[in-house]
Amino acid sequence: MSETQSQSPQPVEPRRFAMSRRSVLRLGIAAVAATSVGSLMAACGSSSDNSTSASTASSGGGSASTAAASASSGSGSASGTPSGSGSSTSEPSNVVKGGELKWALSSDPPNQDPHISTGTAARAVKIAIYNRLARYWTKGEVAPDLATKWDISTDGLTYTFTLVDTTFHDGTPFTADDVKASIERIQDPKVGATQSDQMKPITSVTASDPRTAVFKLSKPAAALISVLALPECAIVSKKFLDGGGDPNKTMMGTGPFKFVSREPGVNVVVQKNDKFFREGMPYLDKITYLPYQNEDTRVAALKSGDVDIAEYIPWKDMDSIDKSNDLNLITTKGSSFMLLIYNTKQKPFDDAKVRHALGYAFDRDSIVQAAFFGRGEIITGGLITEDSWAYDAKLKDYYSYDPDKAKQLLTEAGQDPKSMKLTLMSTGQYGMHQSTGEVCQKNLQDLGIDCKLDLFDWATEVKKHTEGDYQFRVQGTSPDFPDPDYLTTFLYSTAVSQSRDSLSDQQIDQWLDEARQETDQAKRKELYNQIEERAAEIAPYTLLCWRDDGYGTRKTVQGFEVLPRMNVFQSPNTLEQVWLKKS
Amino acid sequence: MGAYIVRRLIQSAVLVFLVASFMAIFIQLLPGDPAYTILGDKASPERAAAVRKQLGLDRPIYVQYADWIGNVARGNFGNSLISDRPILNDLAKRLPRTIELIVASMILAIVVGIPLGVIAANYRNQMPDILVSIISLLGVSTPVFVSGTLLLLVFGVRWQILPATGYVSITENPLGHLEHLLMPAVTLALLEAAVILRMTRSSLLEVLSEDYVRTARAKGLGQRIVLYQHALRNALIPVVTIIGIQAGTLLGGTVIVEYIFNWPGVSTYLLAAINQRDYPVIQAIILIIATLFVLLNLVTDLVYAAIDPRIKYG
Repeated sequence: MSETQSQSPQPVEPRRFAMSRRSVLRLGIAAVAATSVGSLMAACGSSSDNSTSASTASSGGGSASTAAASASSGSGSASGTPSGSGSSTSEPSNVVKGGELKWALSSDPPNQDPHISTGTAARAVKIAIYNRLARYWTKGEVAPDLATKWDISTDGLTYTFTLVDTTFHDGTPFTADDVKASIERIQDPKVGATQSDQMKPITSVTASDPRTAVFKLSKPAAALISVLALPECAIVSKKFLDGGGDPNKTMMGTGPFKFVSREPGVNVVVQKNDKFFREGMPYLDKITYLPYQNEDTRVAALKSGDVDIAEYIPWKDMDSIDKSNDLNLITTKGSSFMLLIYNTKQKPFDDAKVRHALGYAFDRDSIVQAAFFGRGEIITGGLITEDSWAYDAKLKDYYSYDPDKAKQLLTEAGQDPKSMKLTLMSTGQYGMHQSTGEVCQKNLQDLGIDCKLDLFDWATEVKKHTEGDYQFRVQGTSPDFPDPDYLTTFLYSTAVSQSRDSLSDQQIDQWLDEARQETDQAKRKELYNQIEERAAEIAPYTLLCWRDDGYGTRKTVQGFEVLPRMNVFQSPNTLEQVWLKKS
Repeated sequence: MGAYIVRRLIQSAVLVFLVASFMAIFIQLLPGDPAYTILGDKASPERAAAVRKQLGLDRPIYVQYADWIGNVARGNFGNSLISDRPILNDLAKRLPRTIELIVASMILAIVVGIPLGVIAANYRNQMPDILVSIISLLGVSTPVFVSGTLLLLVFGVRWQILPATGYVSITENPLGHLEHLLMPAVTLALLEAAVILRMTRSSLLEVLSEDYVRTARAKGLGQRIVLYQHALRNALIPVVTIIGIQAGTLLGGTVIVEYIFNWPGVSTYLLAAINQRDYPVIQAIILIIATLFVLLNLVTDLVYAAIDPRIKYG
């Protein structure tokens, strides 16, 4: 452009450029036409990308399996046979089979590998395609999936799984060898599987017959079944892996839906698996997943009817969806929680008394209002909630919002609030992190503390917190599974990412190890209560609030259920029983 | 002219090379780590280090840069760090969608902007001119994210007469494709049309006061002939320039429009890549955008010369 401005027009020179103005116009029209044709050709090329051969779906008859039995978490029972129905109920009489469901994802799934977790969106797709040995179901319980039942030896060192008779989407029969291959893949350090640490106690998996898989453990692992029920413990085909198949490129499992195609940034299409082992299911013919990075657009797509279900509903939009005549809001309480994590390697947070004092400084109710529009619950005690067998009411009101007490405790710890300078790290990329940070900053300023709030983009924040480059920070996270063994992820001094710079307490480590290896539930409860009490006392973090999470659906969507608490983003487990009412 | 084009092309190539090199080096200085996008933020630093090694990110920046330049020179943009898909394949699908959006909005803007500009000039200081000026002022002063969101909420969510979001392939459903294209294209076109309109109006008014127009009128030519055959042609020269400049601006505008309407073009790809620190994807897109921008400038200069006989480049 600078060229046009710097060259002065030379009025009398004859034209050297031999194109007439009319030809330029024609050229312009031709260029516009060529662009359109180019885009048309590109579109032609893209439509067949990544597609695999998919048989046409037919609406299978038959009734849904109704093998109902009591489901239990399996944790703690020394030689239990936790059994139960993987699927919920008998087929409702008015089910309309067939049809296509459109699902708004919160992002374009970053990967396709079932053993590596990359967030809610990727999970929603993987859950439809893969099964695990067990899975979480609608009351938060662990229910059978590919394993119809499992027996745990009294010493907690042998797990025997009885498997269903089914086939993978490529027609290969599913056997115990596939279970072995899948667990070994999760254990392989080269894969970088999310649950590899949790699989460490498993020393061998043997296939005593095609329908029976036996796990041998080096030491008891009380939460093993809880972990095996996670989507990241999906069962993949041994034949596929042996043949050089890459699960990150091709999704092929035993699940209710089989992969059809993926167009990056546009959609992922899956189609009914006619040979799915829960007879009569799934009801839908097809699911099209559409990625919506922008949460406002995702909500607009739901409201306009572009999609039938939207995940990760922003809290600011929950009310309007709840009140809509065409939409349902389905949420669960307490799916994730917000907390402040202190870097105990830096002053003044190397002093437990200072951290403890700040437990009284924050107005948790205001955080719930500001960040979650009232859709959350404050945490004044520990992380184990009332609905857990390990809950201890003693801790319930350990902390409260009491600025005077906070000031007094700070003074007792040798700190003068007016001379304290703190820097709180959060991210501006997610509204709830920013709002939480702002409320906390204000609360500290009210105490007279000079508190600065650093807001980084998410990738920068993650890099900084994993490297310990912060003083204290806002964190939002979720327990991986309901068993209180998840506390290991936050409190263990070595294997922990969440609190790597926040805590190294040998007493807690020892109790966590003992609790994991203990098979008596009453003793485990006692240990976890001790752990939580000590954590509250030495305060490596300040717990702030639980938040609600959920999905919005069109009212035509039937059968979709939201799993409680931290399992909320495994709600796609219920996709097989979803059907669309004629509107 | 030929020598001029060659010289400009060489200059352009050097410019693009510099931009690409600058980006390739400085993008890695941004804090953030693609390993944590791949493994999630709960991953241990050891595992993240293993992934960085696997991706070759543990090598010195100059080695990575040399490697990248070598590959790009051979037409290989590499694979995405996050999805491991070939970047060129993804770009080949996404770039045409962004160009389609720009071209469609450009056509809309020209079709609307020039006639309205002519009307405004023709009825200077009368009611049509005032009306058109108000419309153009609104167009220029409304940010794209406001007009886009308004259109989406009114036509997509409230009235539901157009699909609110998304994309349908033209081969799959040509009508659906156009329906999905309409709102994003109109959003982009609003700003562009307002600029074209204002430029057409002021340029035409200037030309209409020239002596040769008075001469044409004195010869007894009708207003239509004076306006369309004598004045408009000359008045369009600065308009063409502004259209060229605006094409570059539109490339920037697509970032917001694609994000609002979930249009799967190159801008949404770039946004996701920046959030995920997917370095090779960011580098490839910047390289392509820089090339497009530089070429667009060159073409505008050439068209300028072609359309105005008084201008030549030597």
